[in-house]
Amino acid sequence: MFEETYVFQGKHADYVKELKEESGIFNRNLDVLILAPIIGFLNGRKADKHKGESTTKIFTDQMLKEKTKLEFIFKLITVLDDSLNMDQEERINYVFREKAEERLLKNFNNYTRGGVEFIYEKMYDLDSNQNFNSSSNISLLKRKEKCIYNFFEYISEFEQDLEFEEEESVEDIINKFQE
Amino acid sequence: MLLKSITLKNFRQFKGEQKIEFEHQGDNKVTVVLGKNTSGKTTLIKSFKWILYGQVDFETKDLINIPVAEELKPGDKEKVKGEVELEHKNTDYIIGREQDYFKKSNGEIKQENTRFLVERQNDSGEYEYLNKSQQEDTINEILPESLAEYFFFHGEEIKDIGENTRSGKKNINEAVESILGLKALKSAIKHLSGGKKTSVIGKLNNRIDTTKNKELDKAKSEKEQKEEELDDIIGEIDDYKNTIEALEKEIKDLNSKIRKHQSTRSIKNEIDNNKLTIKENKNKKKELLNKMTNFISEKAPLYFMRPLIKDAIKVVENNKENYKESIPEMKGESIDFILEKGKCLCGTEIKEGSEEYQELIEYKKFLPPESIGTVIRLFIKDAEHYSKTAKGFYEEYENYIRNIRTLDNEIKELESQNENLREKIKNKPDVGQLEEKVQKKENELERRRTALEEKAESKGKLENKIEDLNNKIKKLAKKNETNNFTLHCLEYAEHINKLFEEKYNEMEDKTKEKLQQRTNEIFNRIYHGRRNIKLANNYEYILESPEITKVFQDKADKSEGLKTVASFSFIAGIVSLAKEKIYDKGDEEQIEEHELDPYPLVMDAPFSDTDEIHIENISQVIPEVTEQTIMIIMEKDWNYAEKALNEKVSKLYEMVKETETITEIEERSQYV
Repeated sequence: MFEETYVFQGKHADYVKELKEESGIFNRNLDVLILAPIIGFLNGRKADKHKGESTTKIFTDQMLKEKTKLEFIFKLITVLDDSLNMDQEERINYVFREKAEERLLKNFNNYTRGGVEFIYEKMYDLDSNQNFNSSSNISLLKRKEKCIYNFFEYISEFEQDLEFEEEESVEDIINKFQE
Repeated sequence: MLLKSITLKNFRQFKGEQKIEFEHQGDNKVTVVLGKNTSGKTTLIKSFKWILYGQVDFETKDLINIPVAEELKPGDKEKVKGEVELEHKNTDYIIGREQDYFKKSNGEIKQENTRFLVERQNDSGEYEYLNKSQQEDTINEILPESLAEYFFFHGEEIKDIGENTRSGKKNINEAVESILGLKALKSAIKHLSGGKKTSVIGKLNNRIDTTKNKELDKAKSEKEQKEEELDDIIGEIDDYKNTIEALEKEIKDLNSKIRKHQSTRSIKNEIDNNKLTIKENKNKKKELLNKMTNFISEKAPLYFMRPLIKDAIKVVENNKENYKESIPEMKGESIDFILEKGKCLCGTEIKEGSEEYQELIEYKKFLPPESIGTVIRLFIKDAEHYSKTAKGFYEEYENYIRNIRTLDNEIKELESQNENLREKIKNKPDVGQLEEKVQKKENELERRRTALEEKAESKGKLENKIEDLNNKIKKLAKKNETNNFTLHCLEYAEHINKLFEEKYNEMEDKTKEKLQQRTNEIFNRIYHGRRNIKLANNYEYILESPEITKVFQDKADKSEGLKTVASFSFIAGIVSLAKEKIYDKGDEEQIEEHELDPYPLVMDAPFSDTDEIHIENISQVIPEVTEQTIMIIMEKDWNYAEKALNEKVSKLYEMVKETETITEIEERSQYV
């Protein structure tokens, strides 16, 4: 898993390019790839492959750098995802015995694409009527600034929701089970 | 001599008969006449000169009041009259001048008869008319025309005398000449040596016969050529001096403008400093934004994973019991082997699609590459690590945002400040540019001065050369008999000229010294003795301030008021010399000032550029310096002068401008 060249296609390719080059928020396409599935899953957002012409690729040598992390994220999401027609036990088995299951990977990529859309929407504040994609006249720096501010809004909401749930830390949970 | 009154009838804007009585008794003989501009201040002063000397110095030549002239019917006559009552050496005089005007049939005004009358009061108190020659002598004795202008001053003259300009200095030059009666001497010198073609010496030189002597002829033409060159150079020197003076004034004006707008420069500096800070802040912001890219790229996923990790661990741990423990050391390949073989270890046949087959396939799911427990343990370990790394993400992000916002606000604040500052200096001159201009002009000035020096040197050389040529010519000329007489005359002429010039210079120097002394005395009384006037050779004055530092000296020098004060001092100094001259009939004896008869000073006081302190001081000193003061002052300056003159003013008049062509003189309530 996560050894081959990863290809974004169509509007997702556009989004990824925008996020990496135009707004400069992410250092590499790879960084988008890492964050996107998490965001997609958190917000229950899936998306099919888009049939557009543009592509953007992440080549094997790059993919290998973050293979471990990507696998972890895959495990994480798949273990928790109830949307598949597979019970938890089965999912755990597949995931931890590292059996590459088509369905699971496809599912993961759906979340990845959905996540890309979501990130783009949040950073470019597409809920409001402001439109400042690459066709508008704002300087790159200004665009970056705006994206960062917009994303912070989303993060703030997220953090607030977390606070309501925050009772135990990860360490506590682990320790509990170790006993 | 003291003035008692003046009466004017139909003289210029003074319609009908109008009289001013001057205070001529008691300790304070000060009369003040107030008037607005163009009400007739200068006319009043000029009227004295018309009455006494027939001087007419107006832009329009008719003296008769215009409305009066207009009211005349063709064939009618009207008189313009001016009369001065005065007292001189205990004798009263009435001096009057009349001018008739006749209206022609075509409506034009024609000047007709003029009469000049001088009456003198005799011992029995009766007035007698003087005849023509008596008139002349009397007037000359009382106040000679050439000196009159130093007792009757009007505005422009006062200012000019105070100006350290070439024209101003000319005025003083002429004053000194007049006072000393040097005009005659100067004429004589001019007659003898002024002008190469027209003067005695010049003509004599030309008369030298050169026909029989080639060398002499050559020398003569060379001399003529050099003299022409000299003329040219003198013209150039004059031009240069004028240019230099103009440049100096320009520089002075520019410097004062620069001083005035210094604040502009400091505002500009503030703007520039702000710009720098803005730039710095923008860079800092850029840096922060770049840092954020790394920050987000690295840590955002970990942050968002945290809640997922918590849930996942719970899930995984809860399901621990459900992990089927598989046969130890058995791998998936083992089952594949069995399936392919089609036969189980125990020997049972395993047919594809059969229940056994399915069972084996199912079992395969639970076989490692590794035991699931290890994998899970690793998973949890990774989870822990990622979770820890993400700690504090939100706070750090928030911090970044805060810092960026702060920088933004600072930038906005400074930009707004700059906008305001720019508005302030919007139409003001750029001090930097002005300074550049000054530098340029100073460079040019330096060039001119150098050029002037060079010209002066050339002039000197030329003059020497001409002198040499003259001597050569004379030597050569002697060889010719016919020239002997001419040469002889030339010698006489040159010698007399030299005597005259020496005498002239000697008298001029002496007077100049005296003038400086008197001027300084008076100046110090007006200016309270912190500065001195020093006269340079050409009557340029330098103000020395022994106690004040250079900075203040420069500042103070720029004051217009100071010039007025200097002017007054000069005037008073000149007046004092003039008085002396009236009494000095040629003897070298010094006459003490207090022995001299009193003389009035009639002046149109140009206080407009003077500040109140100086107005006060001048008003205070002038009456002390002259026995009788008649001051014509602008209404607006009276406020300041009044304070100083209050007790001294005995008579106050006001010239009220009724129309453009009619002024009435009214007496204001009598001061006690």
